[in-house]
Amino acid sequence: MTLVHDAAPTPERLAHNIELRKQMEIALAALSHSERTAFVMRHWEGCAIEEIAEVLKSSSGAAKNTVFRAVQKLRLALQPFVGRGTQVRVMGTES
Amino acid sequence: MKHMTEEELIAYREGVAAQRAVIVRHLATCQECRAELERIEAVLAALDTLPVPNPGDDYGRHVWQQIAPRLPERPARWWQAWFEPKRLGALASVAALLVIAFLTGRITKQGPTGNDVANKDQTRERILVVAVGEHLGRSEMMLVELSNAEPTDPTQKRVNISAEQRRAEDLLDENRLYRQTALQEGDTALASVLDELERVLLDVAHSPEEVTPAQLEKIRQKIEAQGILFKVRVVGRELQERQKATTPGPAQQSPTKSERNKA
Ligand SMILES: [Zn+2]
Repeated sequence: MTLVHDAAPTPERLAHNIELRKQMEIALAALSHSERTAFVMRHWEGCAIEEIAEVLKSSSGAAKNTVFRAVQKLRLALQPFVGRGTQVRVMGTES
Repeated sequence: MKHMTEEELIAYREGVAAQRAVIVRHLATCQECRAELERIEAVLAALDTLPVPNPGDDYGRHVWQQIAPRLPERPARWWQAWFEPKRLGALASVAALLVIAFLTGRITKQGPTGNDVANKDQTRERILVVAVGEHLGRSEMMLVELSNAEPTDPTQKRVNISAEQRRAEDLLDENRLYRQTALQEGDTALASVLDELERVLLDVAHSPEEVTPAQLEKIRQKIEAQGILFKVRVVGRELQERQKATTPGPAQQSPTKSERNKA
């Protein structure tokens, strides 16, 4: 990940981490209400899909999908700021 | 060979993949999908370092005001407590609740220990370590900026440090809570640096909004005499090491989460 932990903070590193943090907050804010709810429940609390489904008043399948969409959107928004591998592969291709 | 889709890899990382074994087998042989999983992992790992959404942000307030009442009742759900609307108004409420959450984690650890509690406890420690690290980073930045402050208009005799002061005030509230926690945790080294930092922050917060160059020089000398910037950097680095040590490896993280939830 890009948060740099290897050395004492330099102004550049601090600036970068602050920028990344800002981008993460923006990306989270850009999610739909249910996506953000699902993602926060999953990641800050490790809630089960069934619990998320209960809160979202949806099926487990739909809740799973919501988590997936949230991660996908966050990834799209944040990948450029998270160091190596900024290229997102076109998924599901044959090789 | 057919690669895993992004959806499958995310589901795997989230511990909700239907055909886990198939994915595991594929990942064992496919470098490309492993690299893709790593990229997903990197984004999620960065997000995991967010201590908690800022209570000043409307999204945090709105989201949690809406969902908190609908959540099933259960004890010690720290993220529910964090977003209780009445607490949002309190100064440094996030920091306060973070510390409470951390301590609660410690207390529950003394009960029947299982992977579940240990994992959550580790997550809390990681959150606290990251939060203190960031607090030190912010403090450092403010002090550096203050040290470099100059009159905006060279013809003016006074330097306006009101922006730094406001930041010092916010940092003070956070600082007190982290210092208390460090003391309670028996981390006297961290507590002592936070104590010194607190005195410098107090000085800054209580200075006049506009200072003469001589007054500013006095503040600078105080900062330098205590070597506080150096100490803050050293402790910040130590915390980063600790953070590395408590950050779970990517491979077992999501399965653990999902297993936990089945229990
Ligand atoms: Zn593959």
